Amino acid sequence: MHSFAAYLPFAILLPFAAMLLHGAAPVRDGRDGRSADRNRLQARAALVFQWVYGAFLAWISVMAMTVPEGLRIVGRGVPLGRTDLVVEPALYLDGRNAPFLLLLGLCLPLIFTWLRDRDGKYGPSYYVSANLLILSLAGVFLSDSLVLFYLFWETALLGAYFWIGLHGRANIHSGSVYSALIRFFLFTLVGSLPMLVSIIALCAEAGKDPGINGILQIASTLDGGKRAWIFAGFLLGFAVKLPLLGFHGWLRDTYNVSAPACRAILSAVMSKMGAYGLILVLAQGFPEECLRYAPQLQVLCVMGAVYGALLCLAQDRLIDILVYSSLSHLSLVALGVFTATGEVYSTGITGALFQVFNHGLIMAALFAFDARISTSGESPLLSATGGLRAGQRRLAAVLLTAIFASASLPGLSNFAGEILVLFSAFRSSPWLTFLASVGALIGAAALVRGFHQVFLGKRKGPEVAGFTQAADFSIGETGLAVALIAVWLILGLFPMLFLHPVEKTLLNLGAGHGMAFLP
Amino acid sequence: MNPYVLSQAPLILGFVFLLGLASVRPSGRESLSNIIAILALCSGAVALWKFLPEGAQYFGGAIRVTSVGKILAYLCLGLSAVALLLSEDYLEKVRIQGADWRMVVLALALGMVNLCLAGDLATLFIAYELVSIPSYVLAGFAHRDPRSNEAGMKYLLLGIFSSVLFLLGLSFVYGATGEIHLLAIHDKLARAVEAGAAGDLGLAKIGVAFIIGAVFFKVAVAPLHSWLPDVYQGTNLASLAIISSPVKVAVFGMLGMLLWGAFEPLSDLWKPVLLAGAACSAVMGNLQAIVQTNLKRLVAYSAVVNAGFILLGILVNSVPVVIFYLASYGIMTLGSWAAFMAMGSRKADVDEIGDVAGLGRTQRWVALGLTIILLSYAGIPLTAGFAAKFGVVLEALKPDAFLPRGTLAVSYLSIAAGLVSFYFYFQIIRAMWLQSPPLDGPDRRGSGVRWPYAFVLTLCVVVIVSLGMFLRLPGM
Repeated sequence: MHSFAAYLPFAILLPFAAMLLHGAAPVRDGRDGRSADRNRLQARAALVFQWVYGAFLAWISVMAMTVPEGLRIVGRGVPLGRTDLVVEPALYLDGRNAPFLLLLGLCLPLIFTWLRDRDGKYGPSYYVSANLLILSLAGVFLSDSLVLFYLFWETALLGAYFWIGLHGRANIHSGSVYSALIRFFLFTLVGSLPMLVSIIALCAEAGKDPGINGILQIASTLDGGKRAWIFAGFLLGFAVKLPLLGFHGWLRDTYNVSAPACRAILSAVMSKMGAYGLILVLAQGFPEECLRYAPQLQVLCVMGAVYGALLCLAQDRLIDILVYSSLSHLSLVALGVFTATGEVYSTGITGALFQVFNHGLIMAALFAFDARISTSGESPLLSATGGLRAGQRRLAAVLLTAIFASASLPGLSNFAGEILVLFSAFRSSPWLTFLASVGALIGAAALVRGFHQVFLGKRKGPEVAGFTQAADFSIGETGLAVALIAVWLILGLFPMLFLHPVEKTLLNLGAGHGMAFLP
Repeated sequence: MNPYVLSQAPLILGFVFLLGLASVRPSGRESLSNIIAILALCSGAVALWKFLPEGAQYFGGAIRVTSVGKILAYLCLGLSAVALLLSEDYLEKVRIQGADWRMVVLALALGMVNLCLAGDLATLFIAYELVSIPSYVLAGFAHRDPRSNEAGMKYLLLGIFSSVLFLLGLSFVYGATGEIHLLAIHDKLARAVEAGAAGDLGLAKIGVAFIIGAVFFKVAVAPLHSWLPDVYQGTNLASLAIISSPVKVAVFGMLGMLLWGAFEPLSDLWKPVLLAGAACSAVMGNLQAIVQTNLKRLVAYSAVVNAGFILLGILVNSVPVVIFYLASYGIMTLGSWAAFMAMGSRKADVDEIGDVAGLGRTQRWVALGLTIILLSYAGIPLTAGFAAKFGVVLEALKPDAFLPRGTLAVSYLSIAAGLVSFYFYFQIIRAMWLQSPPLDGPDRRGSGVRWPYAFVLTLCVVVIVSLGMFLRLPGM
């Protein structure tokens, strides 16, 4: 065991401790001056914590990417009910899941800085639910036992449930908080309960908890029909979370009613739980099924990419454009996974991993910037606003850059990731690749058009549309955004900085364990 | 002296003491009678452990001590003791004479212990009645309350139907085999099945079907569950804590021991029946719960859903899994009643979901406790409910299990139908945390929670979480 592995549990324990500390605070609603002051103090403490925690995650992920065999820590096994099924709590971190953890580590300080609670309106429950979500996300990305994986999968849902339910806000575009929330909740469970059955089935077959990395070994001993059912259970869980086309019914309203920071984390990191499952569970554990159902799944992904982009065109608010462009981009990530071909490491998988990382960072920035346009955090109507740039020059500049990044401008990291995915797709089907690229293009156009309508042209809006324009970004906030843009630029120009450690891990797995990432 | 008599002595003596107490000081202090009753239950468990070695038989086989039976008996006694602890304060509120009520509980405990130790058909029926009759009394105990009267009457009429069916089943089995001892019945049935003697088996099969039907009625397996929500709704919470938790454990335990033991040779008959019961419970329990707004009725439907899982556990022949399920189910149910008692005002219980609105702000710790219990019902990992369901489905999906066709589908269905249960459990969680307290609701601020409720609720939550973390019962 590498000596750094002992630090892995802290990725889960730190937010857990923060959650308990916030939970011990007395209830404050922030309505009177005194309690608002206390809330602001708490917000500052939470911000400091997120920076420390983010730095820790970034450090441990980068460390893990440099260690060829990765980090792994295994706890004492617990027999489940009968003595013959042993659940070993195990955590691992290597080039495959480190991008996810790194993404979480980078997003948290950014989001909590840009969207910190200036008015002191959020009481302790805000940070309790946020930290529950955060620790679950870290747990999902780190767990190497299926029972732990499912545990964190469900607690992430609980965290999001309370975060949205307690601090979400209804608006005229998406109805009441609860109707959106329960839809999100039930949609996710429709996926996660079949996933639970698949997990139990794998455990029953193996006689122990096989863990994320042991699925392939167990699954290859099963007969085809049974394996297909288990595969389907997992696929449903991940498809809802990502979401793929047809499973996205919860998407728009949930993002609309969430608190801004929650929305940013949902899109930037929580949706990556689905991508994590596709890459680490399906592609790695069920290569045969992935190959067999690839044609259908590829078509579904391309349809999602095009459909999401077309929906972007029809939206009248920046946030809705972001939501559907997210659907479109995540479909491309899935396309990368399902077009991965029979090499030890494949362009599709590395491209998908890179895209996960890029998309997360870009979405964190875009959702945060969007929420900073008005004081209420509501996204303004495109048709009723214009010329906001006069009051928010810095915000407009970084928002436009983020939109360019999302539109895969060559030289920025998203371009490198997308091109890898499209290369991989081209080998499967040039036509699908063509359609997917057209989809990406349409989505980009819609985003730029949205920016144009809000920020450029003749000034109109706040007075008519009934919102107050927020103050511009401070120097520090802009500096943070510029640093993020620098990351995109560096990774765009030197993608091997990211791809090399990832591919090395994949190669290692292929050579060391005699198990190709894909056949 | 006969060790069996010694082992039953504490319960009987407790009963006699309480009888004396009730006649001498009809309106005496509640806590004295409660202490006597709890002591009787605890010493009953100790006596069981001390005097009855495993494998022993008494009165010519009428009583047969098995390890499973003993564990179930401990479980019933323990759950009853916790339920008695809860009643300390509550009975005064609903104006029930404590000594009388506890006397009935001790009689019921005697029935439960004997249900777990029964070695022949006669003992089985006597114990079954000794469980049933006090249950009817408990349901209708608050006789000033018309709803309690209704609950008691409904429970009595339908319960008698179940008892008759049970007795009929027992006599058919006796008629078919000519044996009264469960072990002898097993041997006869096994030989008849081996020889393919269709004539003898026909009657026995009808008998077993009747017995299963009666038990299904008693523990409310769908589609024979429609009485349960009405009875739950009308019964006071203290009585409910007994009826819904230890009694369920005892009757399910008896069903398991009968099917694994005496009627094991007829498994081709009863396995499909159990499977159908499990499927119906999963579907009907969940779907009917959606529209409920009454808290007790919701818990009643969740009892139906859980009954389905327990049947699956019995079906897959896994004793530890079933005992684990029964233990966690009993604890969860007791915990939810403790939370409901703690949430009630001095005058009234919580009744509708709306009554618990905003409790996250006024009674944060009680709300947190109930939330953990509801998450356990729903099956979120790290809770006993998850571990229990996981164990049952795991056994059902084992590749080498000898199970009827469709077991896989029914396990899948039970989990998938759980989606609905998430919806209704989260209705309560939503009311507690995401809604504001009603303006005209009772003012709970500063009233505090009485210690028995707080103690039992904490105990249940700790047990639920530790069962969920360590995933097995101590000593198993």
